[in-house]
Amino acid sequence: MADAVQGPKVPTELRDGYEVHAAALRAGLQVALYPRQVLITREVGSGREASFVHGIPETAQLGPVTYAQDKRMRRALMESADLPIPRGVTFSVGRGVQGAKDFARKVGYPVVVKPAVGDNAIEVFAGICDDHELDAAIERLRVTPSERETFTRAAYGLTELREPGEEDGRIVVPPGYRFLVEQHLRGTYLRVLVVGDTAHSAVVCPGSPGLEPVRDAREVSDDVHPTIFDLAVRALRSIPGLPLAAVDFVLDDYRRPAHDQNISIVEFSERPGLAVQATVSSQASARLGERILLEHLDSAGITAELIGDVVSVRWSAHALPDPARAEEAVRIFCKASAVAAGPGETDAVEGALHLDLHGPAHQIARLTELLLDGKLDGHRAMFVGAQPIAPRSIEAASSIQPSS
Amino acid sequence: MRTDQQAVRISRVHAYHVRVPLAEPTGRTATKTNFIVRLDLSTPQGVQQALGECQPRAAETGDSSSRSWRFLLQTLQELQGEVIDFASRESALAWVRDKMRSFVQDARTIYLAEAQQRRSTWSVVRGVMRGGAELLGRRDPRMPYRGVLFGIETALLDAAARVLGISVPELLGPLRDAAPVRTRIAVEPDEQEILKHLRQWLGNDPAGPAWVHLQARLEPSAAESLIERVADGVARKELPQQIIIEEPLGLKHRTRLSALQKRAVVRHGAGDVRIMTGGQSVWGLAGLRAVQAGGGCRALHIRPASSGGLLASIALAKEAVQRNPDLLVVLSHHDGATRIARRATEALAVALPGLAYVLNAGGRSGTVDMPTGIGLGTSMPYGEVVDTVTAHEAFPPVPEPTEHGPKPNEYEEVTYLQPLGPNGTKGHLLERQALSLGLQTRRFSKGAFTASDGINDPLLIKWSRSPLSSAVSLALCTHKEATRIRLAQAAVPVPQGRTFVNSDLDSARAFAGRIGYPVVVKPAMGVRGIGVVANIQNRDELDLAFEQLASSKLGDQDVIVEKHIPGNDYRIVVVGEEVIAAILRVPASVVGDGESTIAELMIRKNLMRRRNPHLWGRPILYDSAAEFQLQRVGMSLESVPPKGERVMLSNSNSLSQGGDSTDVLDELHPSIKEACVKAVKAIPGLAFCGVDFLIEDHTRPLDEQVAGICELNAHAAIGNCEYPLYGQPRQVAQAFMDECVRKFALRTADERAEELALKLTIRGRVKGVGYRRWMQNQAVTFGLRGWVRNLNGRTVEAVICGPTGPASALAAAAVLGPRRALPTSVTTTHTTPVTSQSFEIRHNPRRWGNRG
Repeated sequence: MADAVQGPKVPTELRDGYEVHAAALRAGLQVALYPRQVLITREVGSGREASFVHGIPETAQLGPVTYAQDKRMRRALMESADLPIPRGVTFSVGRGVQGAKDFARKVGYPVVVKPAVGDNAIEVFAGICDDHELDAAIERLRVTPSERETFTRAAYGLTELREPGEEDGRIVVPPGYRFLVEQHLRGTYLRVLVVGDTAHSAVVCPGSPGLEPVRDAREVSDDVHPTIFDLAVRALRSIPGLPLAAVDFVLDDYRRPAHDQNISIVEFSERPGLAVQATVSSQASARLGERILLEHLDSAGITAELIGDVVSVRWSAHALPDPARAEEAVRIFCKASAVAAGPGETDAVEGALHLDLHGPAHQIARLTELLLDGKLDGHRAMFVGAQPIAPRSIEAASSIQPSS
Repeated sequence: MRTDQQAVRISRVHAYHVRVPLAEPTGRTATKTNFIVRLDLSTPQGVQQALGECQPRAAETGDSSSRSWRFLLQTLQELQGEVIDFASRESALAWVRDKMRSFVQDARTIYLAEAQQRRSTWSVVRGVMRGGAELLGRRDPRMPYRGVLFGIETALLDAAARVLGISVPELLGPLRDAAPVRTRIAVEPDEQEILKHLRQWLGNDPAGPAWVHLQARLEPSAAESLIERVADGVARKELPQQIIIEEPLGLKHRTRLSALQKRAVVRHGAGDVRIMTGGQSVWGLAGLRAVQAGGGCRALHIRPASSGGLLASIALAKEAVQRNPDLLVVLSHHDGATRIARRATEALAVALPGLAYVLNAGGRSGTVDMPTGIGLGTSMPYGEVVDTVTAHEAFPPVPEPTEHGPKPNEYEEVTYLQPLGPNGTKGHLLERQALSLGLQTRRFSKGAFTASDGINDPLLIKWSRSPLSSAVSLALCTHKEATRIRLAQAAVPVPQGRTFVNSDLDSARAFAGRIGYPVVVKPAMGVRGIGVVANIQNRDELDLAFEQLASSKLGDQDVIVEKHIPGNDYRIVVVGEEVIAAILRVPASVVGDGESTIAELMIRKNLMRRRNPHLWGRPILYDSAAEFQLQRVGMSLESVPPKGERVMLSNSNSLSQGGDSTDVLDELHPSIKEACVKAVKAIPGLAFCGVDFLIEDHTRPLDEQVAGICELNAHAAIGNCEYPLYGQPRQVAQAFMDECVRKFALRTADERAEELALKLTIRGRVKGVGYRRWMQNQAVTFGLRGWVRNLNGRTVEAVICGPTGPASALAAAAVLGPRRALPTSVTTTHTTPVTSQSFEIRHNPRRWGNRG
C-alpha cells in the first residue's frame, strides 16, 4: 500500500489508533470512531463488537492502564517481578528539587528526567550531566502540560484538578507535580512490542526516542535473542490486565542472552507506539496494527479476514459545526488520496455528512482520524461511522474519480 | 458601683474551630487552624458579642492544635456566667490582667499535667535538655498556649471596652492616631539572592527601608558574611541606605544576634543596617533580656499571638524601648487571620510603645488609622468562616433545634476515616472490603492499592479506576458528547445537544436558538460538575456561561450545549448488570428555625456534614453563588429565616458544592433501572458506573415523563451512595468488590470478617519522624490492639487487631503517617491476633534481641 503523502500526515499520537482503524476497514468490519480515538468495530451479521482506544484493545483494564501511567507504581510492580530497571526516585517540583540533585549525585550523572505520571515514552530528558542541566529539565516540566508542545494525554489519563502554582507571575504546574529521576544507562536502545504472550517486533532506536523524533531506526526482530523477548513478555505480565505493551530496553547487545549482559527496562508503555515502527516502514506498522486487531477480534469471538486495502464504505460524519464546508474539505482530501467519493448528503441541523467512499482503507482511516481530531482544515466531527458496502455502487455513482 | 440590674453578664461563651486561608501561600499548606472566641454579653440594652481570635502556631506560640483547643474550652467554661462590673478604664484593665494572670497559670498547670501523661524516655531527655537551654539563656521559660491566650485576652478587652462604651484602643491607651504600614520580602537564604533583592529594592524605591525576612535559615558564618557584604554595599551606596535584616539566625543562635548587629555598623557613618529579632528568639521579656545582654539588636518584631496577648506585647515593647530608645519596633499578626485578629492588631498599633511600622506581608504599604467604634468595632466574620468551621462548642450548650423533615444520618466510622483526608474515604472503602474477604493488599498512596489472593493476578486499583472496567469505557464516558451519541444510538433517553469549539460562540448561539432555551452549558470532559451552568434562559446568559467556563480550570476544553431537562438530578449506580444504589441530589440549602441566622444554620449544617464520611470535606460554601442566591431572596448571612422555610444557597446539585443526598433506590421505577443498565451495556467494557439521570419523578415510568441521562461516570465516587445524607446507606463498595471477585475468580473467605488481625510493612521515610508514636496514637484512638516497631532505616512493621472498620482504616492511613513521614508503600497481610489488650511500641528485634 502507498504511504499517505497528500494532506496532513497522521500525527504521532494518533498512529496506533489509525493503524488498527485501517486494519478494521481492511477486515470488512463496520467501524465507528468517537472522539479521542475510541474505535468500536462490529461484525456485520453477528453484531458482535470489539473496541479500542488509541489502538489499545478493550481488554486493557482501567486500573492497570492507570498503574502503567504512574511510573512510581509501575516501577514498584516491576521490582516485585524481579525485572531489571534503572535506579530511580520521584520528587515534587515544589519541594523535591534539592532531593533530586542529591539523588542524581548519589547514583552519578548522567541521569534521565521524566514526568512521573501520564503518557509514557514522551518528554524524556536524557543525558543530564550536572545540576544545571537538571534544573533546566525540571524547569521545562514546570510549564503547565497544556502549554508543552511535547505533551500528550491518553483519553483515559488522569485529569489534573489541583490548583496550578504561580512563579514570578506565570502559571506553572502545582507544587505537588512529580517527576522521576533515573540513572541514564549507556547502550543500545531497543523497543519491543508485546501483544499477549508474544513479542512481535523489535526496533533499534538511536538517540532518545522520548523527546526527539526517531530517526534511523531499524527492525531487528529476527536477530533478537529469545531471552530478551521473554523479558519483555514478563514486563507486560508484571502489570496484569494489559493486552499489549511497548517495552524499551537499554542493553549491550540484543543478539546475546539477557542474563549475559547489562540490560534494563527504561520505558514501558501500555500503548503500542507504532510511530516508531512506522519510521522503519509504513508496512511494518500496518502489519502490527493488523496483528493487534486480529488478536483482539479473536478474543471477542469475531472471525475476520483481511480483504485487501481497497474498500467501499458508507461513511457518515456527525456533529460537524459546518457540514457543507466540511464536505468540501473531505472531497479535496479524497481527490488527493485516491479515494472515490459518491454524492454527498448533508443535514445542517444535526451537522451530519453522508458519503459513499471507495479507496485505500488506510486513506479512509486517515481521513476519519484527522476529521475527529480537528485536523482536516479545521473541521471536527464528533462521530464517524463507516459501513462496508458493495464497491460497484460507488464507482458507478462517483462524481469524483480517484486521482491515481 | 452599678446595681445588678446594670451589670453585664457573660451569658454564653462560644468557641469556633476554623480553618483560615493564608495570605502568603507556602505551596503545601494553604490554611491554618484558628479558634474564634465569642462571649455573649447580656446587657440591659440587649445581647452584645465580644470577640477574640486565637492563632495557635505550634512552636512560635507554644501551642499544639488539639491540646490548645482543649485548653481553650476548659478556660472558657470559667468565664461563663461571669459578671463584669467596673466603671473606669483602669479597673477594666485590672480585671483583664487579673483574668489573664490566672489563665496563664492555668496554662502552665494544664500543660505540665498533660506532659506528665505523655512522659517517655525521650521526653524526659528533651525536658532535661530544655532546662539546660533555659539556664544558658538559649530558650525562654515555657509559657504554653500563647496563641490561645491572645484570643481569650482580645475577647476580654473587647468585652471590657463594650461595658465602658469605648473602643479597645481607648481602653489600651492610644499613643498615636495612625501608624504606617510597610511590606517586606521573604527570600531564600542565599547571599547572592539576598543582595540581588536589595539591589532591586533600590531600583523600585518603595517607601520605607529595604526589609528582607530570612526566616531564621542562615548559619552564623553565612550571616556574618552577608552582613559584611550588606554593610559594605550600603557604604558604597550600591544598596538602599536603610536596610532591615529580619531573623537571620534561629533560636539556637540568638546569642550571636548582638554580634551581628555590631558587624552591621556602616563605615563612614552613612546608611543604617538593622538586625531585627522576633519570631521564636524574642517573644517575651526573657528573650529580650537575653539578646540585650550582648548589646542587643536595633529592631524588634512583635506579634501578639507569640507574646501571649495585646497587654503582654505592650509590656514587651515598653521594656525594649526603655532599654534602647533607638529601637525600631514593628508589629504584625501571624499569617492566616480573620478580621478579628486584624482589628486586634490595628488596635494595638496605636497603643504600642515605640512602634515604627505595621507589617503587611505580601500586601501594600499604607497607613493604619485609629480604629473607631465600640470595642473592637467588628462582628463575627461569618463571611470568612461560615464554610470552614470544623467544630463549635458553647457553654451553656446551644439547644438543639426542633427537627424538620427526615433526620440526617450520622456515621460513627467518620472518626477513623477523617485521618485519611477529604478524599481518603473513597480510596479506602474497597481495601476494607478486600481485607475483610481475606485478600492481602499493597498500598502506594491514599488512592492506589493492589489486592491479591496470592494465587491469581492482583487487582490494580486507584480510586475507583479498577480492573472491572475498561480503558475504552473511561475514554468514552469522560467525553460527554461521545457518551451522548453512543447512548442515543442505543435508544437510551439523552438530552438533545452538540459540542462546539470553545471559541465558536456564534454556532452555539445558533444551535441554542434552534433547540430552544433553556439550555445547559458544560465542558466536554468535565468532572465533579466543574464549569456546568444549567437552566440558561437566553442568549445573554449563554454568553455569560461561555465566559465563566473559559475562565475556569477546564477553560481550554470544548463546550457542550444541550437541552435543559427540568427534572431532578439522580446518581444511580450500576455494578455488572444491576442497579445497586440511587440517590437524589439537591442543591445546598438550610431550613430556618425562627431564631438562628443563616450563618448559624450553615455552620450547624456543615458540622452535621462533618459527621458523614463522604461529605465531611464538602461543606456548603459561602461563595459568589451562595451570595447571589441570598441576594435573590433579599437575605444575607445575618438574616433569620422563619421556622420551616428552606433557603437555597446554590443552584448546583453537586454534593462537592454543598448539595444534599437522599437514598431513593427502593422507590426507583423499574423502567429507570432498565434504562440505566441498558446505558451501561452500551459502553464497551463498563462494569461499574454512576449514571447521572435527570428525571421528573423517579417513581413513575420513563415513558410518562421528560427524562434524560446526562452523564456516565466510569470512575464514579463510591462514597456518595454508601453514605447518603438522608435515607438508607447502600453497600456500594461491597457490591463492587464482590463483582471483582466473581469476574476474576479470586479465592476469598466464605464470609466477611468482622475482626481483623493485620500485619503491616511500611516502607519509605518512616524512621526519625515520629512514625511509631503516631501509629500508637491512632491505634489507641481507634480502639485497636497490637504493636509497632522499626525494622530497619526505611521500614516499620506493625500488627493491628480489632474491628474491620478501624483496623482497615489504619492500614490505609499508614501510607500517610505523621507530617514528616513519606511512606512509599504499605504491604498488609493477615496474621494471628495478638493477646495483648494494648497497643505498644516495640524495640527493633535486630538491635535489641528478642526483648520486644
